[in-house]
Amino acid sequence: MAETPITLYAIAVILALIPAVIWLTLLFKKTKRRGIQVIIFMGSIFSVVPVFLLHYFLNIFPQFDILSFLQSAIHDQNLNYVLLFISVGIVEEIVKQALIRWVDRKFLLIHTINDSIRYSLVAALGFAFAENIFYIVNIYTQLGVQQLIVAYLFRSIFTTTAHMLFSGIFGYYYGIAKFAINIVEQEEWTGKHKKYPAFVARMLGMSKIHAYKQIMILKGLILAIILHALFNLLLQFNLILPVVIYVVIGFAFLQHKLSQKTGQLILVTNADNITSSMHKNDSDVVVELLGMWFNNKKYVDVIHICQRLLERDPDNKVVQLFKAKAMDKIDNTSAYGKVLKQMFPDKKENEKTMDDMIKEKALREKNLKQLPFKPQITASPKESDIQTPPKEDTSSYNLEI
Amino acid sequence: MTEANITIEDIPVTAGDLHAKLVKFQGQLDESNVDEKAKSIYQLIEQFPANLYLLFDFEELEYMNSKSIGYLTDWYGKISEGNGKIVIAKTRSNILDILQVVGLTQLINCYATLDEAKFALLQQGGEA
Repeated sequence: MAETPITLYAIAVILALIPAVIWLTLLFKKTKRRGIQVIIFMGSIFSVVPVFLLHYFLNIFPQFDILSFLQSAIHDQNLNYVLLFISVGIVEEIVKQALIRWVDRKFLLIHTINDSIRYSLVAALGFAFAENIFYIVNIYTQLGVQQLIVAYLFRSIFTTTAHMLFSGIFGYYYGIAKFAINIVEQEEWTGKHKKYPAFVARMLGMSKIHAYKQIMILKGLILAIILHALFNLLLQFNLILPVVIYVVIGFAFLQHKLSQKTGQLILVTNADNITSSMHKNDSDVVVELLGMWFNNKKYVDVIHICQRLLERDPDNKVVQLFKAKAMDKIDNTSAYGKVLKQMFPDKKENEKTMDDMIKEKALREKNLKQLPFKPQITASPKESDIQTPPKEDTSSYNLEI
Repeated sequence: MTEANITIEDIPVTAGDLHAKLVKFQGQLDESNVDEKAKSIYQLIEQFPANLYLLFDFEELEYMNSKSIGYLTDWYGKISEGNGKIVIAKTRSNILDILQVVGLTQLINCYATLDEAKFALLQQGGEA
């Protein structure tokens, strides 16, 4: 075949576009904001430019190439690979995420933790698409069409998925960082006090929340870099089966995260939030109880209390988080969640809940004669308190237990 | 330590196997005193594992923390397992509000007066 470079790149673009389109269709079947995904995808294609510019710069000015300097100092070949892959991971992961952070700051893109994961996946797809074009051209020109088929299939399925995995992990932590105020408050009610962020905050003279945000972003970045480096290392040593297992398990974990109610919860606060009809001190007592019972794994009770509290204070994000987290704990629909439960079972799952006690009470009292007066209650609790989901924010997640 | 007090009095009943008590709560039940004060109720449950009928008078109870609500739920569970009963009387609106949101008013009936609560307790106990 005698192709011109333009034809070759055009074919490469089409080939690289196929897995990207398939992934985008699979991941965003029901999405409403397709336009913004296209923007992110297009933007992330150009995020390979800084990576190539960096390579170009280091070729011109080798004195700045810290990696080469370190590699020349270390004579262990395997260690050199590790260094190389870590450095590649650092650059690529930072570049992939820079776009998401910029778009989010500019357009307030991320409303949920899952938004952060999903848009990171789009950025990863854009990056993988651009990278695949160059690999397709290089492999075809250097190794021929037969080698290209195998490499193309492998890159389309596993390398592209791996890129999504790394970015998705970072996206998850970026989402946690973005909604740190609510997440930290909810966790503190369960008694998990953030000692490390408090220490960092004191050392760097910043607020604890800000320190927590920075730590989460750094944690996500480090994890993404480690995962990226590990993936490259496995590939370097031609360990294909471990690569496949690694990517499949990693992506299943990401899918599990995406299926969780906590991730689907809208955590962006609006200016027109409804004020609570409950006194703050009284509400705090209930939230403290939620924390206590959450720790005691009384998840069904936590959900019921949250439902009632949300009727009084519908926009309380901490209560919404408690409810979503409790629902995630008792959710049996996710296969990955089931595996995790098998490995780390909840000790108190069979304990009697308040709902059970209420039903038992109703049964006991069925045969008793009616009293001539009603109990003292300020607003009669409805029967629906227990069984039906609340009316608010059902668009964001399914509230059925 | 915040001030809180629990006093227990007998309620006279005719049935011999039934133990009815009036439990008066005063002050503020918080982290500093709730574990200590809860012991007296647990002792009562231990002493009368079956047919224990308790009337909680909350008139002078100003504050309940989350732990005390946890205890209240636990007392209810233990007492009802022994075919006993709890009713509450004269709860302040702030505490009633909390009990309602927690869902405890669906388990433990709250009454505006002691007489109503006593009547309800004993009638439900078959003593009316």
